[in-house]
Amino acid sequence: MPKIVLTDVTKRWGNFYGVDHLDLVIDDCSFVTLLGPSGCGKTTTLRMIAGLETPTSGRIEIGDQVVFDSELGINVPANKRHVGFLFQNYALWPNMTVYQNISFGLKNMKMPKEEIEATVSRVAKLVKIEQFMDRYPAELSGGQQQRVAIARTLAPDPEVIFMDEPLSNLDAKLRLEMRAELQRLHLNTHKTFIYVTHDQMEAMTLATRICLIDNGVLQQYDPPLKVYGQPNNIFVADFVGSPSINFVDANGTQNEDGSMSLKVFGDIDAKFDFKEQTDLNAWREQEAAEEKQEEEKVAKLATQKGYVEKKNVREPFRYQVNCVDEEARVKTEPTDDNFVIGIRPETIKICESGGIQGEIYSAMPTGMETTLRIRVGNFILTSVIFGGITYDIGQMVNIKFDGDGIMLFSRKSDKLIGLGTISL
Amino acid sequence: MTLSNTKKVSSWTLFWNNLKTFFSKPQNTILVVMAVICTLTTFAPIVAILEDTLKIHPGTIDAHLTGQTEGYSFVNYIDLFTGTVAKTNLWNPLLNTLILAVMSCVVAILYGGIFAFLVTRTNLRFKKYLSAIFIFPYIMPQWTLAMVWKNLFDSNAITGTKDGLLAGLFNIHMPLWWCQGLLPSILVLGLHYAPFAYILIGGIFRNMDSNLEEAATILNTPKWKIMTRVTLPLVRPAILSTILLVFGSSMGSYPVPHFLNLTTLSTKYLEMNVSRAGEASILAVVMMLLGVAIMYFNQRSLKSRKSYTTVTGKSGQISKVNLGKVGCILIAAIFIILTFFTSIFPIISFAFETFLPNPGDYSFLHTWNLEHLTTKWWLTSENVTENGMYGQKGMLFNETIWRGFGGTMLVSFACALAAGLLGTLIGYAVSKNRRSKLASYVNSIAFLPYLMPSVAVGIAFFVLFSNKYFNLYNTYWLLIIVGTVKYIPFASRSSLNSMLQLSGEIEESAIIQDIPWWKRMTKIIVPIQKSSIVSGFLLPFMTCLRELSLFMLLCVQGYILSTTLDYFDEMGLYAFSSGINLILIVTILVCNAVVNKVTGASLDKGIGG
Repeated sequence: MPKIVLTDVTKRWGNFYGVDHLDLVIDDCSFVTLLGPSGCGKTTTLRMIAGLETPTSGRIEIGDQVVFDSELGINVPANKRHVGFLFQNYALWPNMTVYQNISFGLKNMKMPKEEIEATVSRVAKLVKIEQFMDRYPAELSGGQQQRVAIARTLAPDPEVIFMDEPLSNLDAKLRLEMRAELQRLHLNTHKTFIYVTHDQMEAMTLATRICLIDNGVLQQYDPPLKVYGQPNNIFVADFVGSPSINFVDANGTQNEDGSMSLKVFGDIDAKFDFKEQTDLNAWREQEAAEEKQEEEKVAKLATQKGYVEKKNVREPFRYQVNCVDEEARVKTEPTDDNFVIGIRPETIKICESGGIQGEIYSAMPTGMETTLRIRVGNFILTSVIFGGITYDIGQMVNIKFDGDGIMLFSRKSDKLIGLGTISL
Repeated sequence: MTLSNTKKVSSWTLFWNNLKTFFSKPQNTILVVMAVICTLTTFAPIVAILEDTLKIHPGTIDAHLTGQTEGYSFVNYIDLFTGTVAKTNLWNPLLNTLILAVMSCVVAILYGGIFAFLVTRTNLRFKKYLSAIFIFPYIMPQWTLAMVWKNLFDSNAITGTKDGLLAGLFNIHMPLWWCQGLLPSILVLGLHYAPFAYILIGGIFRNMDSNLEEAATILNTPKWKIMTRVTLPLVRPAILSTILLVFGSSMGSYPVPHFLNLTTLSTKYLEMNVSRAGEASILAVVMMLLGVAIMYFNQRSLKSRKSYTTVTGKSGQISKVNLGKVGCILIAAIFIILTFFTSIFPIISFAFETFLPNPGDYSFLHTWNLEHLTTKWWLTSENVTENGMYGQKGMLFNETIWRGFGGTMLVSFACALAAGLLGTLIGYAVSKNRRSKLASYVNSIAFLPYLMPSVAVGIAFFVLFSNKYFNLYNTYWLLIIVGTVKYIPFASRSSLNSMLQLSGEIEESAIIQDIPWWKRMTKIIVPIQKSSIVSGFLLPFMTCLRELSLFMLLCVQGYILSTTLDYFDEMGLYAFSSGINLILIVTILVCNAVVNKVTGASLDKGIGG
């Protein structure tokens, strides 16, 4: 079973970088999702690994075979990479029946007839489509077509299976069902799955590791819960999680004991204690060093032949701070003393007393939980309270921020400084 | 890892590896091969004809003027543009050609466009019948209507030929300008290409979202203003592409001006070909330049077209204009009468002509006595010199005709196969590589012959292939090569359009499973795109059956049916030329019907493509 290694892979069209110097190692038998907003380069990455797209430069290995290397001029065509690919719109051949669709690739492998039949019925059973063998794709529903496409992909027994947003054409209920089935399929087949999606819920629930890409650049490559709880930067924190994370502007400095004295919501004093000992100055130095290294790398690349300046340069992520009156929010150039605090909705708790006071701005109960929007001064926080509790709009409540998973980001560089607790 | 070691490879190996990768994709191989073939077949004739304009031809005017028998000089250009006969040899034919081409466009667009509007946007009656019959003039050979015109209006007193129907029956003698020359040529070519306009413009009318017009109606815009400000601008792209296609085709038409006695560049070329070969080649160059100019406008209009295609979505219902109870029948009746003359009458007329005892002898219509008809033109089975048969056997037994028929079928089949195959491959390869420069080069170079006047293409190949080094003149090989080059655009266009509609993933899912290329083509792509690929074969076949302008110079008369027809017409055996016409029309209609029944593809669907 192969491990997939991408080294410094770049794909550009003119001066538009689809994928920008991507390094990635995909472990054997893992279920990796490539996640990101649309147009971020995740499908391109997948297609490059599968051999359907040719990278501009870089090196790709599947197992111990180098399938692409721009410097050696190696480019193993897609059909020799022994991979499976599940397309977004299934790409079933409309002129063939379900049986023919599944068996077409096998016939080509010079498999004896009995074996073909056995394989087809095995994979058909796996995805529960035995009864549709003589139908044409047009005579099947979306979910059934999807299963046929999966069966066709599984039939030649590829070592890696690539999936390009396979569930996005299904309705919400079916999508949930298929999600569970894909998870079972991964367990049963012991294959490496690489899965492209823009749906963060899908990525969270299915993956063993999430590879989050934005604008062609890798943002974070970690297990789902780490991506959720310890995001590398503001973009990742914002992209993952529903309802979205709350961002709060904060200004302040580090005290002698390592804690931070901050002003939040305009003028409320707060204290932030790091979970792990963090020296802000050391962190800043390290960050500056990293940035310098990055700049040097770009400068070195720029001296190379055929270098094209990247047109789609990443702009600092514009995080959303929810306000009642957007105009009243003070916007300044970020300085070293500006921070952003990230608070997951489920960590905002309503308490009898203490904390700060807020007003219920809107309440949306679903039965299992209630999503609240709470107004604090000019700012609005989103909170999720479990259980079927009803709140009146306009009601005053006391809130506090619970747990040690509150995130502190540098506003200047968007990066995560550390996790900790906050007390008001 | 040994990464650092392996990174050092020679640039030669790198180049070789990259080359291998490039050619491992079938579409790249196809593109390179096609680029070479199309460049040769398009540019070689052009170069040949340019050389011919400069060359001194022994025994012609340039040899006389320079006093040399070989070598090169500009004397042809000087004589043609400034000589004493420049007016008759160049400027008049050029003017006639331009007027003919422009006015044919106007007629075709007005007639075809109005008909398209009536069929798609009004409650006209008998639509099904009318739209089927309206296509006929395009399916039939170009000269059909020209011959009908002659059969109708010729009169011994005015044109000095046999009497036509009107003169023979009712003793009506139309003036000369009506009988031959510019006006009838314009009408005939305009009517011939009107189906073109109908298919292209009708396609847009049919897909146009009538909400656009309704939005204007709700804003209380007067009807004429909606028409001029909303509707017409939307069909502008279709009108433009009709203009470009009709302009190029009518400019290069030989048979129509030839039959109707109009001097254009193409007829002048044939006249001058013997004694002024070099100057004649310049006429061909002039025609080609006009063709290239059209290509340029085509490219430009295609660019500006992008902004329109978004508007013509397939959504929305079409609200139909009410013509009124009387109107919808009256207008239908008018068109039934018109199309009778353009579509049905020719067939009857040709059939009738073949039973007349002598050309222009319409005594049967006076007496209704069957004695006054004859079957001799069909059934005479021996050589007879009397009866006005010039020693020819009747058509059913005439070897010349049937050899010509066999030749036509052979050439048509071969051209259709070759052009269809190459065109389909081009369409496939271009659709796979849309972004690459090579693909767009192949696409436009393959399209170029389509915009070149047929006669000019024929001339170019004549010059290229009938010299002392290699002489393919009067072989079927030459006809097949020329026909293929000229008709590849039909196939490549319809194939490209359909391939672009096919999602790339359909093929990629087969690539992933290591299914070889030919199997992907034969088992997946061709079956899915069957009908448009068939029409890619059908269009060249049909067009080839009735082609004269292109082949005229490349073989002797009697080699294929259309040149045989021309031969008998010049000989004065009008019954024969009518009969051959009938044979051609029937063959084309039968083929179209058969293919339509079997595959669902048809000629009229293909042009719109």
